[in-house]
Amino acid sequence: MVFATEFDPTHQNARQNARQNVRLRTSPTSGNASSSAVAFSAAAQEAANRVVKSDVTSSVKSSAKSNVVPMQSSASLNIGHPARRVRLDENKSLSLPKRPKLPLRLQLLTRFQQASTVVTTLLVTGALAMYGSTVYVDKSTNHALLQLDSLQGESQQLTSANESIKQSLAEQAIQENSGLDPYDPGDVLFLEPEPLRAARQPAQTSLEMPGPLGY
Amino acid sequence: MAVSTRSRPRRRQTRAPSPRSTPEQIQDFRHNLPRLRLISVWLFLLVGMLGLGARLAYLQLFINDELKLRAEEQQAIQSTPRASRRQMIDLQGNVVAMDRVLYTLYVHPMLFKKPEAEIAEALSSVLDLSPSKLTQMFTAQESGIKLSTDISEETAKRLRALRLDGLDLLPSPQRMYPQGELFAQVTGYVDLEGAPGAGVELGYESQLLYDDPKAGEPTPMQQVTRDDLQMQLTIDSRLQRIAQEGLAATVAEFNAKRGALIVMDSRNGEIVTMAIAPTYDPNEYYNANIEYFKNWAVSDLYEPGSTFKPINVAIALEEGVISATESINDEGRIFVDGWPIQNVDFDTSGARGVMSITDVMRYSSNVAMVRMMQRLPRGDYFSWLQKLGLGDVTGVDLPGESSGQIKEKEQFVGGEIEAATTAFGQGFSLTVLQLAQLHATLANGGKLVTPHVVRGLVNAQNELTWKPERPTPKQVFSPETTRQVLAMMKAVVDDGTGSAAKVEGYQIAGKTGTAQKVTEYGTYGDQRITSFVSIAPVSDPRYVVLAVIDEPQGENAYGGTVAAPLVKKMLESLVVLEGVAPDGAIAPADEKAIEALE
Repeated sequence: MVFATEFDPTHQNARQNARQNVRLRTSPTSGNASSSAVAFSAAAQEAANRVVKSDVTSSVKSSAKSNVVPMQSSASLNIGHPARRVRLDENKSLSLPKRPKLPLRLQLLTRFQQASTVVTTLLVTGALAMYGSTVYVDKSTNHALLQLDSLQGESQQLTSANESIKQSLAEQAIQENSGLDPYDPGDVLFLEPEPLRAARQPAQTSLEMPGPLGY
Repeated sequence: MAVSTRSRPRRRQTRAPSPRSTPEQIQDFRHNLPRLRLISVWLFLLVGMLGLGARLAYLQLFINDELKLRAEEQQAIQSTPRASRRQMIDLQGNVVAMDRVLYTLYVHPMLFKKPEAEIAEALSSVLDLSPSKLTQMFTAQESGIKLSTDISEETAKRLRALRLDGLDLLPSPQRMYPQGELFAQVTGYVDLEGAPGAGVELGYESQLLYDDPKAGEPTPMQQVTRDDLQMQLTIDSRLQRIAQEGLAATVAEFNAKRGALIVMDSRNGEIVTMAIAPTYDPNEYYNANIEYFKNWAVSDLYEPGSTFKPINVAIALEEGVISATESINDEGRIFVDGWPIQNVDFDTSGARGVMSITDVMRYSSNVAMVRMMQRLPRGDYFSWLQKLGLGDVTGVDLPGESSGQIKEKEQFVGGEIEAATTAFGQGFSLTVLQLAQLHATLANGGKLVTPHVVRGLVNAQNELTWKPERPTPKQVFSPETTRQVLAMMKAVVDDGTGSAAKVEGYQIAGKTGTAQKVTEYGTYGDQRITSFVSIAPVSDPRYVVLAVIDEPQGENAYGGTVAAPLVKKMLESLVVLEGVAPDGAIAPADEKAIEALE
C-alpha cells in the first residue's frame, strides 16, 4: 500500500478566500483601502493556485519572495496544507523528484573534490599547528638559551671569584705573621680504626613474666 | 551568408567569426566564450606556476651553493675571536684554568637616539674615560668605533643597564689562571689569539677545545661552557703550593739557577706535584721570560749523579752479580782506562776499605759502585739501561719532552770507562722526570709506570668520561730486589748523606746526588747540580719525591744540604695531607709524652 499526501486546491481556495477577506477587513492598515480588498483576494487566490501547481521548492521560494511585499506575504503564507491521505493505484508509482544522475566522470570529480577538501582542511590545520609549534619552540628555546647563558655567566663569575678568594687566602697564609704553620706530622694524630667487633649477643632475658603486672 | 552574419548585432565579440560561419556556429562561438576566458585564466595561472617553478629550480639547482654560503653567514653566531676551552681542575676540583668572558665595547653614533653629550656622560660614569674624550671619539666614524676592550661581566651589566641605543658589547673568552704562577709549568698558557703556548694546554688541545657546534644547534652566546666536562689534573694544589713555595725559597737561598720538585705516586705514575722554579704567570705570559715557558724538568737533560746509584744496585741485584749481604772493597781511588775515579771525600777520608752494599749507598762510594758494576758484562749492562728506557722518552703527557742520551752500544761495550762512569750516574743524561720514573720502579715493586699529569675528562658528577690511553706498566725489577734496595736507601736517610730528610716517626728511603756539570766546552766545571730523591713510606712505599737544584752557589752546596731539607719539608706536608700513618720508631719526645700520660 502506498500512501501519499495530496493537496486539494479547490477546497483550499474557498477557505483561503474567506480567511483572506476577514483578514483584510480587520487589518488596521487596510481601513481606508477596503475597496481594493476584493481585488487583492482575487489576486491571492490566483497566486495560491500557481503555488499549488509548482513543486515544493518553488512554493518555498515564492513564499520567501512574498515576504518582501507585506500584503502579498500575508496572502501566500496562509496557505494551509491540509493533507489528505489518498490511496494510490497499485500500478501507478509516485516517485520523488530524483536528483539528476550525473555522469560517472563528474561523480568521480565530485568525490575527488570532497576528498581533497577534507585533505586540504587537514593539511591547512596541520600546517597552522606546525607553524605555531615552530614559532613556539623557537621562542621557548630562545628564552631557555638566554636563561642558560645568564646562568653560565653567573656560574663563571662565581667560580672566578671563588678561586680568587682561595688564592688570596693562600697568599695571606704564607706571610710571616699569618699565624699559620706549615704541616708537621708531629701535630697530627693518626688514629687506627679498631677492628670490627663481633656483634654483641643481646642478653638472654627470661621470657617468663614475674607475674601479673599492673600499671 | 556572409551578409547575414554581418547584419547580426555584435556585442562582445572581440574577434569576428569566420565570414562563412552560420548563425549556429556563431551561437556556438558565443557559448564558447566563457571557455576562452577560462582558458586564459588557466593559462595565466599555468604561466605563473611555471615561472615560479623555474625560479625555484634556479634557486635550488643553480645558485644553491652560493645561497647556502650566504645563509650560513647570516645564521652563524657572532664568531668569537678565539675558541673557548674547557676548564682544568686539580685533584680536589679547584679550578686552575678557566675561560671567562670579557667584552669589547663598540659604539655606532649613527644609531644614537640621544644627544652625544648625554651618551658620553652616561658612558663615562661606567667606563674610565672622560666625557670630552668620548665625544671626541664619537666623531671618528659613523659606526663601529671600538671604545674599550677587556670589559668585565660586571661592567658589561652596568653598560646594558644604561639602555642606550648604538652600543654594542661583543663577548670573547679569555683564559684565566686563578692561581697565577702556581700551575704555570703544568697547564702552560693560552695566548690572546687563543693559541696554546705550552703544557697541558698544548698537549691536550683537542680534548680541551669544545666540539664545534653543529649547524643549527643552538649555542649560548658566550660559548664559555658548552658542556659540563672538565679536564682533571693529577696535581694536588695544596701540595703544589707547598712545593712551589719551598722550592722558590731554596732556589733563592742558594742563589741557584733553577730548581724542580716532583712528587709522584709510584703506583700509577700520577704526578701529584710538579714545582718548577723560576716560573711565570700565565695570565701575563707576555711579560714573562721566554726561557721559563719550557718545563725544564721535562725538556732539559742532566747527569743524575749519585741518585742513579740505587738503580744500578737494583740492576746488579736483579742480575745476581752481587747479593744484598755482600761486601765490596773501596780503594778510594781507581784508574779506569787511564781515567782517575775517586770518591768525593777521598782527599779527607781516603780509602774506606771493605764495606757492605748498604754502606756503599750510605756513603755514596763511587769506587765501590764501579767495582760492583764491573762484575756485570757491559753488554748486559747496556741492555739493562735500554730496558729502563734510558735514551728514550718517558711518555709523559707534557709537550716538549727530550729523550735521554746514552752512549752508542759500541762505545759503551768497547771501553771500560763508560760503564764505570755510568755506575755512579755520570756519562749519560736523562730528564728530571725520568729519574723520578726510575725511582718509582723501586717504590712500586719494579714496574715502569708512565708519569702523567692528566687524569682525564670528568663530568659534573665527577665521573671520568675520557681517560688518556697509557701503556701497561712493564715489570723491570722483582719486588724482592726493590725491597732490598729500599732498605739500603733507608740507611742513607737514617744515618747517611741524606739524614737531613729524616721525618720523625717515618721510615724514609732516600739518596743524595751531587753531579758536576759539563761546561759549554765539554769538560766538567765548578758548577754542580744537586738532587735528592726519596721514597716514602718504606713500609708501604708509594710516593717518590725528587728535588733537583741546578747550580746552587756556596761551598756547602750538596744534595744532602740543599735538596734534602727541601724534600723533608715536602714529605712532612705530604704525609699529613695524604694521611700516611707513621711507620717508624716513635720519637723519644713522643715516648716521654706517652709515658707521662700513662
